[in-house]
Amino acid sequence: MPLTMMTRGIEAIVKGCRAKDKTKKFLEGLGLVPGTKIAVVAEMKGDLIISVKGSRLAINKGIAQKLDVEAA
Amino acid sequence: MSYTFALAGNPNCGKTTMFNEITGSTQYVGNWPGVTVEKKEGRARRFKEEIKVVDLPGIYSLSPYTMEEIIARDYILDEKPDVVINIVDASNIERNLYLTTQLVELGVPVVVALNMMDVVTTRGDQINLKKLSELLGVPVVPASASKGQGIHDVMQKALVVAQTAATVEVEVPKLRFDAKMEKCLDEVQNLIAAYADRHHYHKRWVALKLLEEDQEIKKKLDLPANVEKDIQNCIAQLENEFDNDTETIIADGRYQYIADVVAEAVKKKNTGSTLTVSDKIDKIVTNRIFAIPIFLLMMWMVFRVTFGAVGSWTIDFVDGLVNDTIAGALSSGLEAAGAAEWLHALVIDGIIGGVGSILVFVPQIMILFFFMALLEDSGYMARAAFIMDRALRKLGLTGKSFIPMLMGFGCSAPAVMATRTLENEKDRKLTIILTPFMSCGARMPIYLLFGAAFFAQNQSTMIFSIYILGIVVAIISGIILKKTLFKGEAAPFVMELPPYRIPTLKGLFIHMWDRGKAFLIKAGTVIFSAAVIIWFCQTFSFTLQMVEDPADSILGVIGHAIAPIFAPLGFGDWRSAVAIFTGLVAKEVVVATLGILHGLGEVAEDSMELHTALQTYFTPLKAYAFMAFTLLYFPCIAAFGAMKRELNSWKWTLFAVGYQTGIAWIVAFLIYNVGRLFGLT
Ligand SMILES: Nc1nc2c(ncn2[C@@H]2O[C@H](COP(=O)(O)OP(=O)(O)OP(=O)(O)O)[C@@H](O)[C@H]2O)c(=O)[nH]1
Repeated sequence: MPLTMMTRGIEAIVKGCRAKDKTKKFLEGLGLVPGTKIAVVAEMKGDLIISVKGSRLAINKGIAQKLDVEAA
Repeated sequence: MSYTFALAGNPNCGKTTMFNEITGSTQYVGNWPGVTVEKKEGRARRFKEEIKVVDLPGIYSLSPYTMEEIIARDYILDEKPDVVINIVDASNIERNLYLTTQLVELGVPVVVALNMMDVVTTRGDQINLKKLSELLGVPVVPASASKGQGIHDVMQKALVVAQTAATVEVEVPKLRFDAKMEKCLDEVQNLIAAYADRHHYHKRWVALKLLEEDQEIKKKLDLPANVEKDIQNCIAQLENEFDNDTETIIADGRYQYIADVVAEAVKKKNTGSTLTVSDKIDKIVTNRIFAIPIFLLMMWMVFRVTFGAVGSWTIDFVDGLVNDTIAGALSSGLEAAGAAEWLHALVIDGIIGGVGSILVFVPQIMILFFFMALLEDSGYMARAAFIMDRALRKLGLTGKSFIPMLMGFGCSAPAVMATRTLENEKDRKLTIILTPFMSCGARMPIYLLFGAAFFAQNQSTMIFSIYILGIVVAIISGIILKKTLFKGEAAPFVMELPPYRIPTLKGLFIHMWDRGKAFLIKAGTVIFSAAVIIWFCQTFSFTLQMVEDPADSILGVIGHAIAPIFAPLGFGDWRSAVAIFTGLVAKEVVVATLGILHGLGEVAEDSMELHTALQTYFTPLKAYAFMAFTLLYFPCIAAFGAMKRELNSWKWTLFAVGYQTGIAWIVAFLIYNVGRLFGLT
């Protein structure tokens, strides 16, 4: 399911990314590779702050929709 | 012997702090050739060896997707520094080691400086340095840059590595991928060995990059078609097997390796997902209801302090110093020395009148820069970008445009350069065109002068409204340009949020001083020369005769010629026209010009007299129209140059400044004429 549907505070595992090539690579560099555990820390009208490998990433709704995750 | 060390690391790992500690005041700031990414160099202190330290741009990886990554990579590959000091944020070690795994593959000696160890200690985590060093295959030295700890050790270690590099073989990277991937890597290595050697590149690294289909490397190696085809086969085979693209497989492999390293070398006190202090603050400052009010409150406070009591106190102080003490002393000194009248006039009216009217505002500009640094270093700036993303998206921009725009309140030229962080060409162009509408520090003297002369009762509200006007014009322009020239979606927003930190006073002052210094240098050079030229042009006629009435002078003639353009805006007198004309050089010159043109023959004329002089030519309404015009028109030569470099097109640059000047005229026209309809004066 897309990350946008995930409940806040619950951990999830990245399954894949449907973003455009360049964006996808950038996200991979930041640690969003399949199998990574992430959690949503805060949400603002669909835009998210997520926790990835100990760092915090802010992503907008458009990206969140393209990240597929499953419950951990 | 002389050595070159390069500093590499993620954004926010403390690289700048480390660089400042290592080099002290020997730094030299320039640009990387061909691009406007800042390049910093310095000489290491406290070493008898000659060590040059180069600060590479902050990057997350060595892929070729951003300008910064390519610069850092090419520098290491082609310039071959003796040692790469990889600064790793120990409090965020997993993510930071991703770059490390790539750096060690380049075949240049790497020393890891494990920074922010104080944070790790406070958290109660433990890092086994020996183990970490073993697993990574490179020396690891702990440090806390902001506390000044471990820096000498890092340098010492790097020096030892540099001195022994010739005798010791660089260690082979410890990272091994999946067996199938390794097999392909071997194959590709064999295929390209000769080509990689020609460039003195590490074979394994080149093979990896080719499997990742890195275009930059392909271009550099210039492989024959049959080799390329064999590589393509390898890639196809791998992608088929893993059901994913090779870059993802490789990234995944790196992270798996890092996870193993961290599991062995790092003992975390708190695993699991407890909320950190930063998270708790973020929940409040990004709260859907409070986010915007908190943001506005912060901005308002910055403004209050800068322009309120503190700011005006500094103005009075410098004003007294320059216009009374210094001008007085110079004047009597010149008289005592029997200097010619024209020299006296040049020094007192031209130089003190021109440069002095700017110096008065330097402390206030520094205060503004201090707050900018505070927002940046505390970590709030990144949140502000996140909060503003939604709103900016409506204007066709992204949250990332916010940082250059906020910097625009300091100085347009570096702000325009800061648009480098925007990945998308269209977003960048639009941000560059709109950023100069954010009122820069150099424009501040104009508002302060007119504010004091015409709006003594509600000075800070009137000045604030000018800043708001700039923002409103930017918003409307954004909407219009988005609908016409820049159609299409803005780039998605992804940004790391560094944890909140209490900024160090030293860091803040370095920032503030760097920027303030730029203003002082400008006052001493550009504005000084402008003041002399302006004085000359208002004293002499085209036939180089000294004129009685400045209206007959060179400037007077030019001013009279262009004044009609501004008559419909309410300020058609020749002095204002000249001030706008000379303001093309730098906006401080507007005030300097008015200071010179209105301070004729007066000894040690102080601000009050300039106020009185202005009041005879302007009414409050005209003054406001003038302020609005100077806010919006052609920014200045420096910003123009930056725009030209960044837009890399004369067409777009001229469009941008033409647009800005056109808008300025229209807005000032509306203010003056609509104001008059409502009976304002
Ligand atoms: N606690 C702690 N904070 C540090 C340390 N080193 C740097 N900082 C802080 O971390 C923040 C970021 O440091 P910078 O030196 O600006 O980081 P940078 O890597 O140059 O970041 P960019 O300029 O964004 O590329 C600053 O607020 C520093 O004061 C450290 O060892 N310990």
